Amino acid sequence: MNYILETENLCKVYGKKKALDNVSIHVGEGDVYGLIGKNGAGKTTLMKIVGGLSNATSGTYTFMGRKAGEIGDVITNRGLLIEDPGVLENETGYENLVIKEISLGIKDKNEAMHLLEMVGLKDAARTHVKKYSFGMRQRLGLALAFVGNPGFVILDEPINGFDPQGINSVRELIKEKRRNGTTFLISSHILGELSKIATKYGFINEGKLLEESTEQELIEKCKSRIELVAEDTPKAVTILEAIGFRDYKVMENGMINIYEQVERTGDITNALAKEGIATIEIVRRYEELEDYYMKLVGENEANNQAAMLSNENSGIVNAGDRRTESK
Amino acid sequence: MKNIIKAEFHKIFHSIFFYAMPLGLLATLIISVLASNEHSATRIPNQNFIQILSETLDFMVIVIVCAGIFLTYLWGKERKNGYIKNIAGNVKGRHILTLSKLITGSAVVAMYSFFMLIFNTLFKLCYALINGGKFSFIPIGLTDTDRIAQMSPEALKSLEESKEVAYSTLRMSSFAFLAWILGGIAVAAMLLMFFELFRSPVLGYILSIQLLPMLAEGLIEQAVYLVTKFEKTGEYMIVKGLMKMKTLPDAMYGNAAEMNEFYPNSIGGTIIMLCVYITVFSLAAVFISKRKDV
Ligand SMILES: Nc1ncnc2c1ncn2[C@@H]1O[C@H](COP(=O)(O)OP(=O)(O)O)[C@@H](O)[C@H]1O
Ligand SMILES: [Mg+2]
Repeated sequence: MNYILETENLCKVYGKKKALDNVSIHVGEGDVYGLIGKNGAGKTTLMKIVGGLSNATSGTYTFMGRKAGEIGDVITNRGLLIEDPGVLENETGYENLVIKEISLGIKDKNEAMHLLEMVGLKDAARTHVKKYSFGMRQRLGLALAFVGNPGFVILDEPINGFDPQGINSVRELIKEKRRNGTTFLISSHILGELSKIATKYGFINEGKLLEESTEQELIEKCKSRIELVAEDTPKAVTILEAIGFRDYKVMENGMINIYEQVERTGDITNALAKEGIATIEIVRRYEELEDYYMKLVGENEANNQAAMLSNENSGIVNAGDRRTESK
Repeated sequence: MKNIIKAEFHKIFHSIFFYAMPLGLLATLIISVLASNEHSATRIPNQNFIQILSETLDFMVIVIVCAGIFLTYLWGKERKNGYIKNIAGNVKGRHILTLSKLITGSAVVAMYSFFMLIFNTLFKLCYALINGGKFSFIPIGLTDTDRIAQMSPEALKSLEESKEVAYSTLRMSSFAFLAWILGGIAVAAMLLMFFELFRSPVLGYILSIQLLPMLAEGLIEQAVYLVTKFEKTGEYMIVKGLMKMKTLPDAMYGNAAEMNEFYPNSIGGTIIMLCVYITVFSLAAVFISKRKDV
C-alpha cells in the first residue's frame, strides 16, 4: 500500500499534558481519512503536526515518501484548514486567495475566482472579509486550503458552522475532489458527519489512537444482526434455510447470528413455533457507528481507569470510583 | 522564499497603515521645521542638499518609531487572524517566514528613511522657492562662480577648505544616514525576535516607541559600569550609539580636525556594531521560530 501520509509514534506534550501519545496513522493515496475523536482528543494537534504548523515532541511522519524535515518541493502539495479559518479581515475574499497564490508562486490568474465559485462565494468575491458571515468565512477557509490544487488536503472539523445544505455541498466538494485524485485527512467529533464520505477511520481519544479501520471493516464490525437461541439448534437452522435465510452463522455456544433480513424476527419465531421448537431468546442487534465509537472510547477509558486503580495502591482506591461518577 | 517575500510586500502595499505612517512623518517634519523657524531670528532662504541630509538625521528616530509601529501592527495582525496558518504548511521551514519578515521589514525601514529624506528635500525646496532663496547641492557660496573669479588667494584657500568640509559633511551624513537605516533594521530584527518569542504585538508597540530600548540600555549600561567600571558601554548600544551619530554632522560644521576624531572610528564602529546586532537578533528570531509552533 502506498501511503501518502504515515505517522510513526507521534507524541506531543504541552507542559504536563500529553496531547498525543504514540499516534501512528496511515493515510493511503486517494483515501478520505476520517479522524474521529471528542473535543480535546488531540485531532487538531495531530493535524497541526502533519500540516507543518507544529513540531512533534517525539516521533516522526512521512509525507509522500519523504521524512518530515526533508519534504522539499512537495511541500506545496498540501493544503490545510486548521480550526477556524485564518483570513485577512481587511482584504476581499478574492485578495485573500491571491496572497496565498503569490506565496506559492501560482501564476494562474483564474484560479482564485474558480475557487470562490467552487465554494459558492463568487458573489462575495469583492466583499471585505470583515463583512462575511461565519459560514462564509468557513467557505473561504476551505477555498484557501485548495489553492494550488494540492494532492493532500487537511480539513479540521470543516463542517462546523454550516447549515445542512452547506454540509451537503461540502460533502459533494470533497467527493468531487477525491474523484480527481485528492487525498483527505478530515477530523470530526461526530462520526455520522463523515460516515457518508470517509473511506478509512482513525479513532482517537485522550491523545491515543484507539483503532484504525477501513470503512468496509467498520461496516463489518457494526453489521446489524439477529441473535437467536433456540431449543434445538440444528433443527432451527433447517427451518431458517426453509424460510429463506442464507447469511447466518452458528456460534460455538449454539447461538445463531443472522446477518440478513434482520426485520423478520416475527417470521422466525412463528416458523419455529409451528415446528414445535421453543425460542429461548431472540434479539435484534443493530450497532450504530456512533455506538461503536462510544464503546471504543468507553473501553479505552475503562482501561485507563483500571490502570490507574492498579497503580494507585490501597490508600486512594476511591479516587477511581469518583472519576467514574464524574464521567 | 522569493514568493513568500513577494506575498509579504503585497500585503504591505495593500495596507492603508503603510501609507498613513509617512503622512505622520511628513506632519512631524512640517511642525518641527515651522516651530524652529519661529525661534530663529534670521531666516536664511537658501537651501542646500548637504545640510538637508544632515538635518534629516534629526528625524531618524521618528522614522524608526514609525517603521517599528507599522511592522508590529502588520505582524501582529497576521498572527491574530491566523492567516499564517494557510502559508506555514507550505514552506520548507518556518524560519523562511521569519527571514522574509526580516527582509521586508528592513525594506520598510529603508523606504521610510528615504521618504523622510525626500520629504525634507522637497519641503526645503518649496521653502527656498517661497522665500526667494536658492536651492543647490552644496552650500550656495561655494557655487558662486562670479565671486570666486574675483577672490584673493587666501580667500580661495579658505573656500577650498570649506568645500572640503562640505564634502566631508556629505560623506559623514551619508554614512550616518546608512547607520540609522541599519539601526532601524536592528530595531526591526529585535522586534521580530521578541515577536517570535512572545507571539504578542504588545511588547512590540512598547519597544518600537523606543521607551524600553533606552530604558533597558540605560540599565545595562549602569549594571556593566557597576561591575566593570567600564564607562563607555553606551557606545556599544543601539540607541545611544545612534544618538551620538545624530550629533556628528553638527560637529562637522565646526572644523575638520574635530571631524577626524570621530571619523572613521565612530561611524565605522557603529555600523559594524549594528550589523552584529542585526545578525544576532535575526538568528535568535529564526532559532525561536523554528522551534515554536505556528
Ligand atoms: N497550545 C496548547 N497549549 C497547551 N495545551 C494544548 C494546546 N493545544 C492543545 N492543547 C491541549 O491538547 C489537547 C488536545 O487538543 P486538540 O488537539 O485541540 O483537541 P481536538 O482538536 O481533538 O479537540 C487538549 O487537552 C488541549 O487542551
Ligand atoms: Mg480541534
